[in-house]
Amino acid sequence: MMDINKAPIMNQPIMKEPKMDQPKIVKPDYKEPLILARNLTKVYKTQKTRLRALAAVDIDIYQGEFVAIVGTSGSGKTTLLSLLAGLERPSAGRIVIMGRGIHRMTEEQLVDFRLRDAGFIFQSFNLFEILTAQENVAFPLMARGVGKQERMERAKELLTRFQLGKHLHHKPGELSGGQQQRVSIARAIIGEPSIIFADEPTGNLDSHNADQIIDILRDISKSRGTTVLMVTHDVERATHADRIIKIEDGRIV
Amino acid sequence: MKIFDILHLAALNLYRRLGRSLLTVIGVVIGTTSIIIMIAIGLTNLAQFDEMLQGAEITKIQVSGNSTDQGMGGGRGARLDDAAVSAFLDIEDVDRVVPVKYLQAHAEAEKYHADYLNILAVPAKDLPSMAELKKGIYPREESLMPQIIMGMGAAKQFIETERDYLNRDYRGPAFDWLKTPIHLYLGGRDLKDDKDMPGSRQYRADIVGIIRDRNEEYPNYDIYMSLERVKDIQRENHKLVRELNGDINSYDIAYVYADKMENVKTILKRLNDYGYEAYSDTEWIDEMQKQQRSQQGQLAALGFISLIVSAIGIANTMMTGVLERRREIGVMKVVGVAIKKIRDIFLVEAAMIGLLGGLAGVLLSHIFAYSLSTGSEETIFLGMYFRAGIKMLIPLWLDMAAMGIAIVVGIIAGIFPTTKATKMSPLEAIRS
Ligand SMILES: Nc1ncnc2c1ncn2[C@@H]1O[C@H](COP(=O)(O)OP(=O)(O)O)[C@@H](O)[C@H]1O
Ligand SMILES: [Mg+2]
Repeated sequence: MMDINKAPIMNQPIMKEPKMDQPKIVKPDYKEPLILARNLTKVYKTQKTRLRALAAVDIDIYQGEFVAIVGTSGSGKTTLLSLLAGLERPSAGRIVIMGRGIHRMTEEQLVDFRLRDAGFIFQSFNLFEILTAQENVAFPLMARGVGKQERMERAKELLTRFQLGKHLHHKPGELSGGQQQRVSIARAIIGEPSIIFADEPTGNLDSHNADQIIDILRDISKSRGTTVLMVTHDVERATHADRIIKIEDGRIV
Repeated sequence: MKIFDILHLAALNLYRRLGRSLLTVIGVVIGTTSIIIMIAIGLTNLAQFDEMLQGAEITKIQVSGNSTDQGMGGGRGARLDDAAVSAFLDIEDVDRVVPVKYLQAHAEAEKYHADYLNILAVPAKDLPSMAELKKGIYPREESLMPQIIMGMGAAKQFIETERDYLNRDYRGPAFDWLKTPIHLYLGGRDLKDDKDMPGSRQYRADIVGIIRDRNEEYPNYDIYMSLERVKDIQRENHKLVRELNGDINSYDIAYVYADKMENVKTILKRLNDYGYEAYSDTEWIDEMQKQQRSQQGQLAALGFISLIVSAIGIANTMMTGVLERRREIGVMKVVGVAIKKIRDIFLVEAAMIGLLGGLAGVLLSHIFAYSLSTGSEETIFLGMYFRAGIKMLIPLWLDMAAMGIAIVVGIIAGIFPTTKATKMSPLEAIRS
């Protein structure tokens, strides 16, 4: 098995110089929070009940940080992450990421934000079942209009670095959980986002694979200065993060 | 995202979910095929109907007199004579009137004899409009001897012995009729032996033309002579004619021709007002046209229903397909694919299904049309009458239209579930 400590990703940057032609965001001063949330509240309304999943949360996250959000099941971790990433709209409060008000964005602007600045990793991988590993990884570049040859080449490079060079043409169903999660990480970082949102990325993995994933995330954060926001209920693995935010019943403690 | 990528993704989706794609395509195939077949049957039916209308004499009215009731002091004006004919001609919009006499005669040709022949006496100038010739010429008004045209059915009436009558395959004497003069007598054969009746004179008559039979199975049994000549013959045998209750100066029927089909109705009414029985194919054609229209309507309804059914089928498959793929749509949104592009991917998929199903449907329709064709016999299919068999015509425009419909139905069926799925928040979509 792959030994993550000797893996080449530890010693060299994962990406070459960015080839995209859109202007790279001028990274703000380290002192300014990259992500800033104030009074963030989410109330889920069902037919009978109103459930307050998040109650007036304030958060500051700085560039290059590897932050773990921990809490028990149902405490509101996924809700917080989804609000920060613009996957869901807050009931109240505001979110500012790199100076832009996420909470005020139209659906179109949100799509563009996710396309350029955010990468996502899920507990259940959420790869496209009909696409091969390589096609999955290349997908965000396709969404940006990058030509087939270039995006496939870069996907191959990334997958090779993740020890998946032999599985380029395999579909997700033909890969193990750990392999799928590495494909999904490759998909999340191929577009060189400023932030990676990871919701229980180790939740479906055995401990060996889980360790590996945490190491990769940490490496991405350190070697590229990417901000990584990871939700987990695994307090032990959360200690590998720079900072831990604990959440209980929708409140930060 | 580039257009090529959208096309490629849609095609990939269809190909890698082959089973479901095929199922949907089959729904479209059935819909397309039934639309094409229904319309093609209707078109064939319509084409044959038009052809039949061309054959029908839509301006012809048949008027019957009451020559036999005459002596009993029958109805006023019911007598069909020259005065009646000129009265008919005076009716507005009447083009032409052809008086006709029916007579019975018997004849001999060499060793053959025909006991009962039906003679239609028609003015010489009108003969060409009554019967089409296969060979020979029409009788002239003034000729030395009576001139006759006859059909091959009449030829079969000439027998040598009574046994020929019983022979179903008997075709008549193998004469060259145009070169074989016959002897003609007024009245049926039974009169010959009736000592109380005045005998008919004997006429040597020439057959100058053979009538073309419309149908080999039902040859023409009539014999035509010029009315002028028949009147002379009746005059020469006036005693016999009187004994037979005949009347030299009256006709059995007259054909009144209107100038246009639209005027047939008013002319019919005038004739009835005069006390004549009048009949026209037009009434029957009217009825047929009504029936035709309702059949066409039924076909259109059937085609429409099959269209709706297949549309619902496609919509259903698309709907379950999109619902199953809500998570996929959510992930696409997460990755940063614009909603419009996601919709494009699904609609292109739907259009491809429509196109594939439409193509296969067109192909299948042509195969059906080929195997459903029934030759050229009379056929009743789906309650419709086909005079010359079902030879299904599928014009190119119908193929094109059916394909277009299939694609449009596919797209419309895809729009609703796709729009619904893209409206969900990405998180909601991924969680489902
Ligand atoms: N769409 C929803 N509708 C209603 N309640 C929800 C919905 N999503 C989450 N919740 C509730 O909000 C609370 C927080 O959920 P979540 O953020 O998923 O917790 P965690 O990720 O920490 O396990 C839970 O009680 C959950 O049942
Ligand atoms: Mg969760």
